[in-house]
Amino acid sequence: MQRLESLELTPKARIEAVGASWAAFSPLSGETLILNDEAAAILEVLQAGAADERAIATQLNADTAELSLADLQGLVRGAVMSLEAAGLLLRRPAPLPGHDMLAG
Amino acid sequence: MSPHPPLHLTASGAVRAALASPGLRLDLGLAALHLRSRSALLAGQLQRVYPHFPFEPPGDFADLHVHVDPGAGLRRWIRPQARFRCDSRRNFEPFPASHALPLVEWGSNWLIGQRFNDHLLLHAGAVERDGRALLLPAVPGSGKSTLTAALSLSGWRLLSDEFGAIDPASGEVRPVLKPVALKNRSIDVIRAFAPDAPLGPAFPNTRKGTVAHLAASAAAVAARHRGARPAAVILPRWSDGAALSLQPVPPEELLPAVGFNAFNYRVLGARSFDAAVRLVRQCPGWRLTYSRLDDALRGIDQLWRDLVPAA
Repeated sequence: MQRLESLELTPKARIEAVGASWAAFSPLSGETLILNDEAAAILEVLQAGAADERAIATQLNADTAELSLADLQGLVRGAVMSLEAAGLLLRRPAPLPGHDMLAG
Repeated sequence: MSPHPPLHLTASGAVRAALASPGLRLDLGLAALHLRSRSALLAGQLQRVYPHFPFEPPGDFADLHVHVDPGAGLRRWIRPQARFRCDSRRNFEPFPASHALPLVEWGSNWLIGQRFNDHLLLHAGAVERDGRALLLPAVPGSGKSTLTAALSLSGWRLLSDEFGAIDPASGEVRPVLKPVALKNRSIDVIRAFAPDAPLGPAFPNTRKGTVAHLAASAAAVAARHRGARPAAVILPRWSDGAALSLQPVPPEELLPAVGFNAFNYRVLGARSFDAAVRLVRQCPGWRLTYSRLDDALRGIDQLWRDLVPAA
């Protein structure tokens, strides 16, 4: 069974509005990037907390009626790969069911 | 006011003797250079291109300790050389002894670019007027030095020809005041622009062709510890025959240009990013294309009048 993965912002990554765009700095890669709208929207969702690709697409779908959930999922998948390669987000295994109980 | 006389009013024998031992201290503003050499040629060249800098003994702290020596053995007599040494390390190939000044200039620029990582160092001309700084980041060959030189001869205070040194804490541009290094055609362009411009000797056949240095004014030297908040960033590009063009550059395009033209962007990491974002948010940017220096100066002057109310 495939384990679910959640995505989260790289700790200490910087995201700033610059003019009509967003710029981001990754402490992992040392890269500064000017983000397109999709990438900026994904990072904005992740600023609120970790989420998987489907949850991100669902959130974006709630914000825009222009694209279907399926289209958004494809878009998110592509953008996430680029953001991950740039060191702006990290992929982590989602907590196992019952994790909180075991930890508690 | 400095208690020390300026170099150009100091007897050449005294400068030569001090340079040999214990050395000269050149306070450039952000950086202080302690320079030692037995080269009589270099002493005279320094007096010409650092005329208004005080003749200081190296008693106070210096950031860079540079020794230019003539080499050993037969090299002392046959095709003598100038060798650059800093902290007992030789970082560069020797130059002919007659070219000691360009060696000192390039060598010390390289050291500043390597070491002053408490500032974001842009490869940029920097000048000040009305209390605000104008930054001119550019790649080599863009006409940056020619434009910086012309501005410094037209009422702007020279902060640096090479380094737009931005203090990440305050956002101010700090002077790194050295002579403006003019290359090849730029030398004649500046001679024609200002026949009385204080140019030092021309050094032919360097790796960058012929080089000559324009001295900083007495006023710029006196103010070399005074930074200025940046008010604009202009990305200059000289293009043969081009009509003057000054096009606004939006912040999202200016930011990568700033990062690209920084010596130490990656070294400073997030501090670079924060300083660069602050700069492009505070300062409008323009792309300047020009072929005639007078046109470029007129365009910059007009832009500045609109941007910075005269103090």
